[in-house]
Amino acid sequence: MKESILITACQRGDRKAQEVLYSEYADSMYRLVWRYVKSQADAEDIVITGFVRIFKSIDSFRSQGTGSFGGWMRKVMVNESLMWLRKQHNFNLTESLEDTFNEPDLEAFRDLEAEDIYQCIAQLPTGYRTVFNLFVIEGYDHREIAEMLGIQDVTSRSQLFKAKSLLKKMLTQEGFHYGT
Amino acid sequence: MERNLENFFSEKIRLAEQKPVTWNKDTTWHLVTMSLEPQRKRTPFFYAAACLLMLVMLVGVQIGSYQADVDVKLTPLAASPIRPSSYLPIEEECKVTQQRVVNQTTHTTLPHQPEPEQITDPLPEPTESIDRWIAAESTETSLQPFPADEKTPEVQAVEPIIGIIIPERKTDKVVTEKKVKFRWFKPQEQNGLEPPDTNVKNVFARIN
Repeated sequence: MKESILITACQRGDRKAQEVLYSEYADSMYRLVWRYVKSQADAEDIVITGFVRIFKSIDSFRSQGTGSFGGWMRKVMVNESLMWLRKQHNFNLTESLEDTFNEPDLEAFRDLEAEDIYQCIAQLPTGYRTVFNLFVIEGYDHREIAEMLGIQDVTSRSQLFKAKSLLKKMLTQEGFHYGT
Repeated sequence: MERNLENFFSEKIRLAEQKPVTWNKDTTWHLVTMSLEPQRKRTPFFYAAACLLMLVMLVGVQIGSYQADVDVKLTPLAASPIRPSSYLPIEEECKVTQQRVVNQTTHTTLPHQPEPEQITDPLPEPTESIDRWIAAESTETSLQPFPADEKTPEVQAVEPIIGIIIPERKTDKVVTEKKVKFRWFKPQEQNGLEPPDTNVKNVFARIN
């Protein structure tokens, strides 16, 4: 079924169309959420609330071309994940960044498979992982991340820097596991 | 260079997210539908349950107040013992009542009443009886307590009266009037040397 027809049917409240939409996007949304919360039960709860929010606010969606609906759904799921994380974690408890440090080189990650990268990201601490996901995977800048997490820009930069440093250590040190 | 690496990560991760993964997909969908439906289904049940609860409470309160009224009305009746064995069915009761009426109209005999005894003692003297009556009434009057002032609840100091109150009756009093003749005697007349002059005017005085 064409995506626009599916969206129109969902806007009418058609339960069949909602089920088709769910079947198409549920796996990717679950993976996305799991990358933030790192727990299957919590990820499933967030997926439930996320899809409920999607189906309730689908009337406000305005199509802007191919793939815009997928991006809109990802945004909703990321917001739900951040809402859950803000209840569990204080993003302000971070150290300041020392500008003298050089950026870690992540060229070695190019040789890794997607699943390996996925597992490495999952081992990062919550603050580092969240900022890394938002900046590298979702494409937000530091100002937007600071606004979303309620932190300062410099804190976001610091978190990203430390996340990259830890990922590099994971590559260079065999059997290194770090995370909360 | 750095930005290219980040784009590489992003693409790799997004591709990895497209692969199927094992999780409770069907259960999650069921919970999603449950979360979407209840607002339409539960609301009427909620209002119906609330109305039913209010109705039950209202009926309970009314039954409670009615029971209290019945208890208050039956309390004096409960004090008198009820003997159901002494009551007859209403038809028999009517027959018995009619028979009683017939019996009373045909065989009613007044009981013999003794004739009043005639007073043979002579009446006392009128003056003596009046004195006795006055004495008796005065003692009754003196023994009777003062009636309480019901209008004024305030306690007033009551001084006891010592003595006998005798009602004044004009009919009982004997009015006696005497005329006394006074005369002013001259000095010679006072000594008895001369007889009193009868031409001098007399002064009369009335003594009650």
